[in-house]
Amino acid sequence: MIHRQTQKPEYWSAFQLTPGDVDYLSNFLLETAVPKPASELALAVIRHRVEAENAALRRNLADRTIYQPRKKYAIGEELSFPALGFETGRVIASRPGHNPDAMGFDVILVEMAGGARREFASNYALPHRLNDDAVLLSLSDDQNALSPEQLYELYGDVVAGAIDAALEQHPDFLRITNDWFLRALMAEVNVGHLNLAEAVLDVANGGPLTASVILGELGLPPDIAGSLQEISLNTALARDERFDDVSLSEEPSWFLRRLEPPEVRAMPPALRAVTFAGGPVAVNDDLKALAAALDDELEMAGEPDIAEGQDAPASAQVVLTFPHRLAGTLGWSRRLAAVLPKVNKPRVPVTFRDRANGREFLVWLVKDGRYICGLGDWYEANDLPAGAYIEIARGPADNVFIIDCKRHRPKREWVRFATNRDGHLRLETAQRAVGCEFDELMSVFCDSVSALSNLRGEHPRDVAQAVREAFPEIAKLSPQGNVHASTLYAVVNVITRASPMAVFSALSSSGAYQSVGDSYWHLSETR
Amino acid sequence: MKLFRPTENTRFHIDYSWFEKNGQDVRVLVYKCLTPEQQDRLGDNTSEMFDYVDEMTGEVERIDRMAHIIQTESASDPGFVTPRTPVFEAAFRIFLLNRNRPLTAVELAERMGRKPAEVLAQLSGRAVYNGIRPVAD
Repeated sequence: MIHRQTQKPEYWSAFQLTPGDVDYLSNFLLETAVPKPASELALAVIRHRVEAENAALRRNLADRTIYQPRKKYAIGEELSFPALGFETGRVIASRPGHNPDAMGFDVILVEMAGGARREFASNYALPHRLNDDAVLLSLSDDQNALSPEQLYELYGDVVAGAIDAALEQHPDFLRITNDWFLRALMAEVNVGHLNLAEAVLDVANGGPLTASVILGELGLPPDIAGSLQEISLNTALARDERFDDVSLSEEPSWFLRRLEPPEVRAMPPALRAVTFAGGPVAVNDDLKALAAALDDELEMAGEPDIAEGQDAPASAQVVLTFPHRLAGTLGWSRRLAAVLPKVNKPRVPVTFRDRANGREFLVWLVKDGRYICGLGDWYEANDLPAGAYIEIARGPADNVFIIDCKRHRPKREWVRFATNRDGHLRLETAQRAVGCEFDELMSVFCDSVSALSNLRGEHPRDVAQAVREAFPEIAKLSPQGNVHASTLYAVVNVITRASPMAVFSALSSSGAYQSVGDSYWHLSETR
Repeated sequence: MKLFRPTENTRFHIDYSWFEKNGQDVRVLVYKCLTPEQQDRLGDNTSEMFDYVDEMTGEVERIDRMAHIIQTESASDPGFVTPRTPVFEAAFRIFLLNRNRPLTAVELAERMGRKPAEVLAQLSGRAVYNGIRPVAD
C-alpha cells in the first residue's frame, strides 16, 4: 500500500498555509465569488492537498518500472513492488528458479531501498495475480485511505484555525464577519455612498432594508456583479456605526441606528441593576433553588439559552416584574430565550401579536442587558400590574410571536397595593379591579407606576437598604409577619433593580431575619 | 516474561524457537502432517530445496521437499484441516499452509470451521503445543 502523507495525523496537526494554498484559495474565491467561512476553505484546502498528492503519486508511478512476475528484468534495473506498498529496489543478481511445478522461470535478487535483500520470481509463466494490470491499478489506490471529507471531520478545525491566522495577515484577503473574501473583488463604497444609504433608510423610517434595496439608489459601478455589490455594501455598512444589522437570518438587513427607539440604544434606567455590596454570602439551597425558579435575566449572563440536545419549547410563561413594567420592557430570561430566536446581533426587531385581538406591534430584542423593549403601550392598554403572567409563544413566522396576558373579566380582588409616601414605599392591602391572572406572591399593584418610580431616586439604591425598607412593609400585611422570599424580591425591585441572588444575599447576611421554612422569613427575635 | 490474556484480536503463529528450546524437531511434526502415500514418496530425499513463489507478492522462498509437498498438494486437500482436527494440530497445519503468517483466533476459527471462542480458549491456555504462541509485538 502507498503511504500517503495526507493520511497521517501529524501532517495535519502541523498544517501551515503555503503560498500554493493561498493561490488556490484566491482562485477558489474568485470562481465562487461568494465569501466563505474558514471551515469551507479548510475543506477546499484539504481536497486540494489530497488531489495534489494523488497526482504526484500517479506521476511517480508512471516513472517507475512496476514489478510483474511474468516480465524479465536486467541487472541494475530499478523496480517498484506493488504488493509491498510500492517499495523500490534494484536488481543485483539473477539465477534459474527450481520448482518442478513451474519450470523455466528465473529468480532475481533485489536490494530493497532499505538495504534488505529479497528474491522475486521473474519470467514466470504460470498465472499470478500481479500479472493482471487491473490488480496493479487497485493496489495503487489505497482502499482504506480516508476521503477529504473524512479528513475534514478529523482535522478541519485545526486547518480552519491555521487558515484564519494566515489570512488575517494577508493583504489580499478580507474578513467579512466570519467569512473570507478577496479584497480585489470588492466594489468601492465611499462616504458619499454611505450618506446616500443613510438617506434611503431615513426615508424608510429607519428600515429595515436589505443591501439589494438600498443599492437601487446608490449607483455602484455597473460592471461589478450585483452579488459583489451587495457584499461590498454590506461590508461597508457593517463598519459604519450609523447602521445596525438587525436581521435574524444570515442576509443582513439594515436599520438606521439614530431612528431606533431610545430604550434600544441605551438600557432604560429602571433596568440598571445594583449588586449586593456585602461580598459573597452563603445562601441556603432553598433560596438558591428559588432564585433559579424566578428566572431573572440578570442571572443568566453568558449561559447557553437552551441546553444541547433539549427540544425548544413552543411557549413560555414569565412573571412581569416592576422594573420591566416601569420601563415597558420584559426580561429576556432563560425561559423566554428558549422560545425566542437565537440572536447573534446586538439588537433585532421582531413582531409580537396580541393573542386576544390579533394586533401586531414591533418589539426589539436587545442583547446587551437581555431585555425586550417596546411593550409599554401594551402594558398600559391591558392595565397590567407587576406580577402579571405573560405568555410568549412561537408565531406563524420566524420573527412573529404571540403574546398573551391571560385576561379575564375584571373583578374586584384584595391585592398588595403600593404607594409612595414622602419618598418611602408603603404597602397595604386594597381592593382593586383586576383583569388578568397574576402571581400572588410577586404582585405589586399601584395606581401609577410613574408615581412609584420616584422611590428609585436618581441613582440606583443599595439593595441591603431596599431590603430593610421592603421587609417590614410586607411583614405587616400578614398576621404572622412572615415574608416570602419571592415577594421580597418583587418588592425590593420596586425600590431598586436587583437580581434574586442579590436580594437573598442581603436577606441572609443581615442577621435581622430568620428563615421559618418554605422560603418564608421572619424578623429575628434576637434583633 | 510479561503475562497477558490473549483476546480475539491477538495474533498467533508457529514459534520455531519453541521447538529448539524444548528439544523437539519441527521437521518430525511436519512429516506427520503428510499422508502415508506422501511419506512413502518423500523417502529419504528431504534435502532438495525448491523455489516457492508467493502467490500474493511474487517473492521467492527456498523451501525443502516436505514443505513443497504441503504447499502444492495439501493446500488443495479438504481432509488436511477439518472441523474434527484438534485445534492445535489444525492451527499448526494452517500456519504451514500460509507460511506462518500470523492469524487471530477469529481468522483461525474461520479456516478450521470452529467457533472463535473455542479456538481462543484452547490457544490461550498456559501450555504451549506445536509451538503455537501469540506473536510478540
